[in-house]
Amino acid sequence: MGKRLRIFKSPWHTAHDHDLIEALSPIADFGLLINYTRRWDDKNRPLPENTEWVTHYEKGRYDLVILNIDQQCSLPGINKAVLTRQMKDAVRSVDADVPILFINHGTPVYPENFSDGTKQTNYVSEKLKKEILDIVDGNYMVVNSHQAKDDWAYENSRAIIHGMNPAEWPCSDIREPRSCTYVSPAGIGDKYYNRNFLMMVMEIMKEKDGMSHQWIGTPGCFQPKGIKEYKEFLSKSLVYFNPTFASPMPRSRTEAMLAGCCIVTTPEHDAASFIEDGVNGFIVPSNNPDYAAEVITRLLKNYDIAKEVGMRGRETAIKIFSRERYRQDWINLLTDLKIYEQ
Amino acid sequence: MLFEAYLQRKNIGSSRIRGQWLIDRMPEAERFVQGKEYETIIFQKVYLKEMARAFKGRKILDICDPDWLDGFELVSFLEEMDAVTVPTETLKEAISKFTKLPVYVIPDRVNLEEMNPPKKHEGKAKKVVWFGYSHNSDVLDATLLNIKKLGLTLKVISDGVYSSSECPIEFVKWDPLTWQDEIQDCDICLLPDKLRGRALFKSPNKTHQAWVLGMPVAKTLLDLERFMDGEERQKEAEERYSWAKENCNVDKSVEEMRAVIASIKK
Repeated sequence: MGKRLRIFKSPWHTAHDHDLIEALSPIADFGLLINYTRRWDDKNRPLPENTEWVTHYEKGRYDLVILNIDQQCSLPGINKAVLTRQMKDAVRSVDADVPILFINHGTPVYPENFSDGTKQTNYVSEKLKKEILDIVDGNYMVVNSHQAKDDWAYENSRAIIHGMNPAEWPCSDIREPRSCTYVSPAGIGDKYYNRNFLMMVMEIMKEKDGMSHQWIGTPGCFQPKGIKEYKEFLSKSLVYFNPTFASPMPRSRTEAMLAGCCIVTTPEHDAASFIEDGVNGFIVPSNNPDYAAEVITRLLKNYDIAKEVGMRGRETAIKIFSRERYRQDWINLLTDLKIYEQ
Repeated sequence: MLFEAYLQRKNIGSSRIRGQWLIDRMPEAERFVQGKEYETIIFQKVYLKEMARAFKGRKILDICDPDWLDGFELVSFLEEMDAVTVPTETLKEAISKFTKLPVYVIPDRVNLEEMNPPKKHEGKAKKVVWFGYSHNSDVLDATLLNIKKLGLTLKVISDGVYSSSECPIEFVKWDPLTWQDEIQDCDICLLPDKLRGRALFKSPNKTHQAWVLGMPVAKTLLDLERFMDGEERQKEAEERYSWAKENCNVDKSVEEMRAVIASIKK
């Protein structure tokens, strides 16, 4: 095993950061920047032991700088965009040599702010792509789906799919006959999360069958007080519906799979590569709310089938989204970039 | 580390007056860049406890409002600081009661380089102007009938609308590029004092800015009546301008801030 690495980073998305820092704990320590934009949510995820808080970047102390970016960083005034740009400037003002690696969990899809015209069917904006890649500036970029890699069309990049610890996601044998979704009610864009689609599905289910789909965290639906309650709710839910269109590999879907929910998902961003329709989940097109509503309600009425498919989905998640695979993907990348020696 | 950057907002008066104007005249200083190494951090109304605790260099809290009245844990934050700077003696007196740290008064001043030349006055006044945050605009309520009686129009330059039917009012949104022109488009600045509550801690920075712009400042009805006459306004404007030029130059604040920094031995 090579020399232990020191990595400089800021907090960004606590769940992803936690997975990354913990996965790399055998080979790396992290200096996390104290900043006024992004905090560590220690109520839900304790800070891993291989982490220390730092006030600034110190030349010679780090082997790698990891910066986060996504399509919102194209908006100059937005807090996280300021943080990423400032950190890049701070590092490069004193150190021209340290490798900078960008983690980009976004896509070049942001029609609310970047509509290049109506000719596109996949909503990818070339203008947005250019703006983000200008910030990345030739450095290496890690994305989190193969479709995202294709959409960014940036050679110096690869997809590393998240990896979780199944032990952190309880799976109950007691399943309530309910369906749920956890998608941010605000932020980025409606098309990205396909919120309008979700709302249409919810309306149809309510009107046709009187079923209240639980959009977790929104008014009138289940509001967890913390991650413990959220995990418990998922572990007892029968069906999980993922409506997203451009969100590459939502971790909420993986969490639901690990919790044993029967997954109904749109096919975008690689989903169709690990969900076999009717076997370990169900695929529904992202533009047909009637069909999606029908699949969900049919599953809620066919309890045993939904439970069985949910368990097969869990097995898939344990295999595809394992922490070990994720760790090895990162180690391979750091080795390929000659930052780490295995 | 400016309050407006911390809040991710633009055009916060205290950050401009107590931060940016000093930075503009202080080559060794800059707006805080997250991730960069510094010898000194001036926390301008920013209570970032984690940074205050971890940062090993010189730490100064610059405070221009009685933030503890809003529940901020000022005393705990001061434990991590080396010195405090404030714009008024009133604030100094209040803060000195709960800390042993040195508290220095550095008054609000003006970056003269950034200001328009003073206005020249003539003829009968037609328009008075008030500028400031909308949460302070209630000071105008008692003046409206007198403004109408004198046949004046009131211009309000603010972040939020002020309206009333008691006298003619023009509203202009405060803008960093136009605020000085908008003030100088008028004949008198109307800046009545609030003499209660948190206002007692405030510095007269708006008055000083108005004087630098060559504007007479009316605090009372008597002032307003006197400034209706063009010659009176010009005389007042000239006197106040030369005082302000002498006493309100931000370069003085820069020297005072340098002295505070130098006084901290680390």
